[in-house]
Amino acid sequence: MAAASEWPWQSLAEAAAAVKARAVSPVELTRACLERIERVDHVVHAFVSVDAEHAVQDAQSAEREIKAGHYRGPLHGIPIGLKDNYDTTGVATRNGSRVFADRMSTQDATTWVRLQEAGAILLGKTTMSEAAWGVDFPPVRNPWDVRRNPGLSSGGSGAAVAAGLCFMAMGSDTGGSIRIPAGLSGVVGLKATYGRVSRAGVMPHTWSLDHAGPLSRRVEDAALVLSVIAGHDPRDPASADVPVGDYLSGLKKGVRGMRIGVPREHFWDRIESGVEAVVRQALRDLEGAGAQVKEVSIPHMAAALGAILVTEMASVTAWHDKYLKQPERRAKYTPEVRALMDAGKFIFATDFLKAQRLRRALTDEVRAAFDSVDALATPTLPLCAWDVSESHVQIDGQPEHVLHACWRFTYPWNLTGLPALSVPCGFAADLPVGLQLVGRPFDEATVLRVGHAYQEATRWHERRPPDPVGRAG
Amino acid sequence: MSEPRTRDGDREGLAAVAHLAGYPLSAADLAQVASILEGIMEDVRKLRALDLPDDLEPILTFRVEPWA
Repeated sequence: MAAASEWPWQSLAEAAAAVKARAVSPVELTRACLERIERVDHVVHAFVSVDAEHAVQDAQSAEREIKAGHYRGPLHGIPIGLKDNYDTTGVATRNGSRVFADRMSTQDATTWVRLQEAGAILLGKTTMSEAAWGVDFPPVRNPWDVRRNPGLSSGGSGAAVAAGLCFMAMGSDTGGSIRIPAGLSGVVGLKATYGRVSRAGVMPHTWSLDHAGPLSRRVEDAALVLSVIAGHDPRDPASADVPVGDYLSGLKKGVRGMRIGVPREHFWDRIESGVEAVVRQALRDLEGAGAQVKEVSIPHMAAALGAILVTEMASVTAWHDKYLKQPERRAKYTPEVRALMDAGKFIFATDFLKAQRLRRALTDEVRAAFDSVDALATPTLPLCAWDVSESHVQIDGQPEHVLHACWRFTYPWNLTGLPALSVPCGFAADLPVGLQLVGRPFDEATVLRVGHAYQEATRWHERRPPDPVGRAG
Repeated sequence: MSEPRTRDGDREGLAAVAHLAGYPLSAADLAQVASILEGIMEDVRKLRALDLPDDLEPILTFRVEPWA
């Protein structure tokens, strides 16, 4: 086992194996993570709250259980983070907002219940943008370059994993907010099929688009976490009563003979040339690993942005409306987020319904594309991490709002609910680039298998960001 | 989201719609709302312009089922 200072950089799977073999204890892992948080998080701001005392107590309890022969499985004694919109009794769940600054939930999120039952140790809550809607509050930074944004609402979870502050952090994804920070921060992000992972106890953003899932350093870590959190939950009305797959046994089977589809439309229209070059190489690497890569067509893909905009804006406002009506609470939203929520009041029902018609058309087209392939591959984002002071970026010589640009390649899989995974696939201008892999409904096993095969064919996942201390701009 | 080009007349029209809809907002809030709506309209227009089949029904309760 590695030296103590190296422990936070191990994968979850490696740490789990060491805990099981008693080469390292949960207390040692937890203290190593807490020490690293103490050293670097004043720069990265990945955590909005840390409860070191409880974390160490829980780690001591896990250690006693394991010593007594009651090893629960790979998450037993593993320090993790939860995004600030996951309900946890005893710890405030603020949804990244002053509106909910004093909100104490009375019931744990189902995912947190399952992670606790598996023996995971909660270090704290990770930083998120306000109500998963704002872009720059509070100021979480990208460990690869602390002048840059680590991604949107689950940015704290991505930054925490990338900076070696925990072994896994849960995020939520309405238009890409697990995969976007994964892509920008050089880690793995998994959004399983809509309904596969319970959303109960995760503060709602857009009912028909919200997903809960993990950010981790390795594909096998995501598979381990999904094995714990997947499954039907009566508390979530959208939860699917579909048998949970075996995400581990087929993970190392490789991609020889598999057919990977690359959509012709949308994903290559406006993309930074450096990002495109990296992702095209990743597709060649998949071919080199034995996959057959072929073009597929999904014609309505390019018109889907309007559909997610009206769906999300109307839904967010519908949930927050009761708070917006209360003058004291209304005043606590930041002006930018309040304006977005007010704008949602002016989304017409006719546009909303047309968006839901487009979702059906898009799903039918994607299903047809899957007739000839086993998985799809796209870039995760059209750009790398942007400077925190920027609201617009230049892509292909055209200015574009960062909020508009960053989710163009991820939101289609929220509209269709399909499983999607982002894996690190290289660097452009020294910043991470992500490869997005998409599968059929409830076929997370294939997505993880392709992601693992790519990971093992390359070494991008082994890169570490520079020490962030002293690099804040 | 494109740069806002909202005119005063647009804001007055939006104020009237907001009042009728029961969402009265201050002039400052309306200006921000108008700016955001202006920014998304290009994509909303693309959505409206889609010629979808007459028999294509909206998904009113989104659920994902396994494909046969």
